[in-house]
Amino acid sequence: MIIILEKAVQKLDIFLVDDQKITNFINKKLVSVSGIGKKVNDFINPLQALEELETRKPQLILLDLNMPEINGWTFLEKMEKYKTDAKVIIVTSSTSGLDLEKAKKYKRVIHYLVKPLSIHSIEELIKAYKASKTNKSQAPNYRT
Amino acid sequence: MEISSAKYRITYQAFSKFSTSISKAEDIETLIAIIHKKSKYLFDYKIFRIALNQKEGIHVFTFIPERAIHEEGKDYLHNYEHELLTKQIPFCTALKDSLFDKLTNVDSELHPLLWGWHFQYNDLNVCTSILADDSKRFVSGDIEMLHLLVDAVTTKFKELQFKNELEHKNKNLKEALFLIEKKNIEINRILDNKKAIIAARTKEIRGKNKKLLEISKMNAHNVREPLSRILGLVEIADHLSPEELQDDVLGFLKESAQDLDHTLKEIIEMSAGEIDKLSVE
Amino acid sequence: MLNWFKCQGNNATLLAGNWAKLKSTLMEGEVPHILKQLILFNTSRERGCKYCTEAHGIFANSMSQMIRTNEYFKVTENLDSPLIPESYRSAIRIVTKAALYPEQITDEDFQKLYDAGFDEQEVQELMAQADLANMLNTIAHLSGIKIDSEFLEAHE
Repeated sequence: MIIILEKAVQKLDIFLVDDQKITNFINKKLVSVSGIGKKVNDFINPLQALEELETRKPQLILLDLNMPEINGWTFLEKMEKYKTDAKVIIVTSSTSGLDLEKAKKYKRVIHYLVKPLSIHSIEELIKAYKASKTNKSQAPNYRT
Repeated sequence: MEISSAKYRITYQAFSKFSTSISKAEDIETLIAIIHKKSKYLFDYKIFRIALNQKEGIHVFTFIPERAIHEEGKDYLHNYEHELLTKQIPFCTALKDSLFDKLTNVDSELHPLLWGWHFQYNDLNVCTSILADDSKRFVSGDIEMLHLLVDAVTTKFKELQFKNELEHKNKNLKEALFLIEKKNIEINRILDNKKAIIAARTKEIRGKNKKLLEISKMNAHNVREPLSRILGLVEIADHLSPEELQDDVLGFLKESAQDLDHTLKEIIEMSAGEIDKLSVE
Repeated sequence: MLNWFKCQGNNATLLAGNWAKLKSTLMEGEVPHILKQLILFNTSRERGCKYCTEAHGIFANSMSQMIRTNEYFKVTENLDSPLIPESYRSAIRIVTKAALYPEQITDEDFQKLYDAGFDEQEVQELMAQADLANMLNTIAHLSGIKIDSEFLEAHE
């Protein structure tokens, strides 16, 4: 797999937010194999991820929906209280059409991926991130 | 000859009035009272009896100047009346026995006579009798008037019986209708009850269905969780070093596989539990 | 209009009263009309009131002519026959006596009426014929009315 990357993408600071450590391990490996991301921080507690938003300043967050402390939607809402430009990609095991529709309502959410992630998913992820950086005025356009 | 015609003229007048009065009677007691009062204008008698015999029963009317008596039943017939009803032969004999001593004074010096006749009216047969003597004389010329009287009385009697029967039937019908209505209300009540039960059960079943579907969805979801972790680990296996595989991934696989197994066990237990519950119901 | 009415014609009050008496006593009640006419006839005949005798006799006879025969039978001539029912005989005899000789009426007479089968109400009605007869006969006598021509014709 050879992916042509732009330098910006290589320098991304990424948060992985999922209550399962194994999932974070897998996603972290996928990300590093894809060659993107300068610094990848994984969190099993979303509240802690929020606290470190301003200090670590990630540009991209991979966010799970079903977490015990607060769920993905609450995380998204709380994010607005912090100074951050981070974009969010939802990574969930939910195949529910309702969740997909709800995700479209959040401007920060640039993509919606279903677990388990694969190398292909990472490609999509990158495309989405690039698109979001160039077409800021457009509404996110993602498919499952 | 002149006298009996003259008498017939007088009594026929009285009979018209009698006939009119009878037609207005509304019940048997009134009928009997009219006969009692008016018969003296038609012919003389010491005792006058009418026995109306139908399959529903026997009515016996006895008239003496002082009062009228109404009896019902075979037992009230005298022997000569039983004979009249069966043999249907009219007679006129001297009274020998003390049959009527309770009702009136019978003086043998006055030559008491007992007359008896039978008349048939479809399913009703009537026997009528007169006790007369020299003081209250009944003659053969009076027979026609007596016959007219019995005709009129019998017709009215049948009419009253019929009216009674009709009222009785009506009453029975009304009662039956009332019962039917009551039963209807009851049936409707039961039906409504059943409908309510069915609605409740349906709601219950829908609820259960929904619950089951939700459980099913949740189960699928829960099964997918550890399975997707296993799939993810497999996905990255090619990109990991043997050490990483040994130290981390194997452990993660084991954990995820166990989670999966645990979830499936739970599902099986729960389903088994539900099936047992169903067979109890 | 009969002479009996005409002779009272100049006094409406009296006529009204007498007519009410006549109507309630003679035309209403339980006792057969023919018996009442026979009583009035008999009373009038015994008293010798020609007018009333004629009138009531013809009333009685004409009523009996409602039975369709061609013969003209005078009911009134056969009153004493034992073939006539006792009710008529005793009523006519006793009420006639009551009209003509009221002071001679005894309890026995009343008892005879009861024995003939009349009840108290009927006896009262019968006795009322007595004073009606007296009224009718007296008016006829006093006013000296002649027998109506219609009645005379009835004889022919």
